Amino acid sequence: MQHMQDKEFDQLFRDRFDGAEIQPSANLWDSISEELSPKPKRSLPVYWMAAAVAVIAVTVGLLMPKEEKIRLQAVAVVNNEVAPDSSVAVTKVPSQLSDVSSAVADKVESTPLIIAPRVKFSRKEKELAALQPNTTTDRPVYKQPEVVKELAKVEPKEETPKEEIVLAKADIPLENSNVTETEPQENKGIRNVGDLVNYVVNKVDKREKKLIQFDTNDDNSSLVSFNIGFIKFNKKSDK
Amino acid sequence: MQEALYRQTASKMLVVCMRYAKDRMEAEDVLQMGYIKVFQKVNEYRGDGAFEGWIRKVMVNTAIESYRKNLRSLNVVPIEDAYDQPSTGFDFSHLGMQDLLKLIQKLADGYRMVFNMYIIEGYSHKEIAETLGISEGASKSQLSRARAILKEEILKMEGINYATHAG
Repeated sequence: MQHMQDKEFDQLFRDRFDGAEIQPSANLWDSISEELSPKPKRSLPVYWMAAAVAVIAVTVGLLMPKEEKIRLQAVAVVNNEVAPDSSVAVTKVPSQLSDVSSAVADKVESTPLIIAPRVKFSRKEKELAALQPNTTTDRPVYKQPEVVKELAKVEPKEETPKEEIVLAKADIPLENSNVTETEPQENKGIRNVGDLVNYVVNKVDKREKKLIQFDTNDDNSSLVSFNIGFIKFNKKSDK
Repeated sequence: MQEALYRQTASKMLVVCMRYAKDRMEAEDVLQMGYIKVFQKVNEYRGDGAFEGWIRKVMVNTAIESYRKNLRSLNVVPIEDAYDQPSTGFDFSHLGMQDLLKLIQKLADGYRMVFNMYIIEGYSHKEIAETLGISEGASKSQLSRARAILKEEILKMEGINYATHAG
């Protein structure tokens, strides 16, 4: 044995292992096939969360009670003088009413404007009345456009006295007086991701400096500003 | 299809894995990893040589990879308990595959690698040196040391078998 040649020795091992078999554990194939079958890809929860936030934001936006667009009633007497505790709203008069309103505006100084008394209309009647001028009463019907949304868009330079009317209103909803969004902003609809983000953020973040805002004038949305408390960035203020 | 291939070859491949592993558990781990690779890379098989030979190559590579991953120190493991289950035959020629397997598994990891790769798989010392990241000289010396240990153990085993038989 000791003088056995290495070659013989090696050959002995080769022979012994040639064609040798040992049965693997019975469950081994199961674990192999389990590992082979592609597992369903679990998408990152981050994406689900982002999608959920977007859906919630849009839903809230759609379900939010729309501001009353047409006001058929107002206080009987309109004064230039504003009561100290009443809220003031500046509105832009739609162009098609400019003739009427200028006429009204001229009268305002001298004659108190008398507007139709409060009449209870059903919703349907309200809409109908809004479409047609109230001819039977022969009183000027003043249409007040959407207050809150217009306020945000009013550009200060466009405020010429001729088109302005000052209304003292005691029944303006409280939130109207809180509106601080005066940043010029054109409403072009949602065309790209930047618009979508701006829309959602506008709905959620009512601060003057938004959480994040994009410039969407060009096709490539560019970051204009963001504000996450301790870090603030504003492209416009940097200029 | 995959299962049929597995059923047909797994018992042979487990022997290959057993030669490279310390125990059966480690061997089955390597066997599983090896078959995953086989089924994932089956399109890489060029049809040169026997398909079983290709699978065997994948198994050997997987075993070497596994060894390199958890490279243990090359300390020589004492092999006092090599005769737990003495072979039934007391002639060297009657030593069974299981006996030899047991002896190989008792070898230190580095010795076992070199012994398997050189003697059974037929790698050259140069290839072994490159694959394991050792020098060719180290490969040669580890091989002769492995042979010496195995011969010694077989002799001891025969002696005990003889004694058992005579007593």
